[in-house]
Amino acid sequence: MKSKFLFPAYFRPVGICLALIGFVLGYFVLYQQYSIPVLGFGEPRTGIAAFFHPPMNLTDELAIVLIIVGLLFTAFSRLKNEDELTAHLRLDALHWAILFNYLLIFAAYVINNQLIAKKEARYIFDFEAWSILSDLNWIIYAVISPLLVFIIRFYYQVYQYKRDKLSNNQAFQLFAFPFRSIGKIGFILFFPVLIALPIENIYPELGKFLPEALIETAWYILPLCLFLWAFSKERHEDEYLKQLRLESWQLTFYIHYTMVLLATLTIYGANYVLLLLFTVHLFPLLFLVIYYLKKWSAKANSKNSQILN
Amino acid sequence: MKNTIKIQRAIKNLTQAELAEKIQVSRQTINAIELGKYIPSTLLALRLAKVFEIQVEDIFQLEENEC
Repeated sequence: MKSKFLFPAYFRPVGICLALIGFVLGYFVLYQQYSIPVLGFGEPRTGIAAFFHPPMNLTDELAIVLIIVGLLFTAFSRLKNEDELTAHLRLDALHWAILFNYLLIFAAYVINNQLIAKKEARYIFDFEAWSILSDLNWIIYAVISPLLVFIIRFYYQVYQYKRDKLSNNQAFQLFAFPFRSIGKIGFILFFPVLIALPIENIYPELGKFLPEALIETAWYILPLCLFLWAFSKERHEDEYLKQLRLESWQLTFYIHYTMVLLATLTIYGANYVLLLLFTVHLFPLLFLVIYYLKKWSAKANSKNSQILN
Repeated sequence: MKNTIKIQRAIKNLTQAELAEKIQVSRQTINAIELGKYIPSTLLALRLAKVFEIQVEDIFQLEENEC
């Protein structure tokens, strides 16, 4: 296993500085309602309008960009002595990060559902209920938690490794049977529902075929299925597939956070939150796409070489 | 999998750090391999064999239950 796609080592201190500035700024934006006056434009609004079209101020965007870029640099810069064992530690930490993120999402849903139940909201996509609660701060944590957990786990393991105290660890993975099959079947069953959701917005008459209970079930079950699928071993899991996994997870992180950064800079208000919800929710979907693309291209290559031989 | 790296090092009179430098990994990685906490790639195994001037099988052997 080899580490690829890493930033040079000097990006780490730069990243830490950027992230710290971002966190301080983010704290003031979220909890002290602070905004840098220079970055504001547009008329302030009130009520529901404020939720869908909030007064424009780029301070929070700046904070998010600083935090994500800073954490990415910190997480994925080359170690002074990068070798195959540290690559193994990276895969282990990437798995931990996604695992923890799911725990966080499920916890957030349990808490949020109780809040929504109290307000007698109808279902999870009820934006009116959300604007009353206006408690979607957790989604920002869910966006940065994979990076944070990765950094904590990875550097803790590197610290143990430097002290020769590394325990005999295997990156966390589930057994191929039955978890992989359950994940695949569940995904195939429920993914169409989620695809139908944006189409329903355009053609409301489709709503008749999509009961809210089904949508909500899909919304909860899908991440679980994706998790099972992405985290279970293949029937013949080997070192090569592990290497593919590491590369794919790393690419997933890069692509995911690039998308989040682009969305932060181009999409505002409820649409932004909805997009974040989707990306955070379906994190392993991106991984699976990349992983299978890599596997498929490796297979195609090996076929070519067979013909040549 | 068991290994004889420690013995081979003693024969060649190499420290973990010197061996690490020769095969381009960190000393900690040599330590983890020696203790059986990490199974190295074929590349590292071949480099180790080259340094010790023996066959890979003389360094790494399967254990009974791994055959």
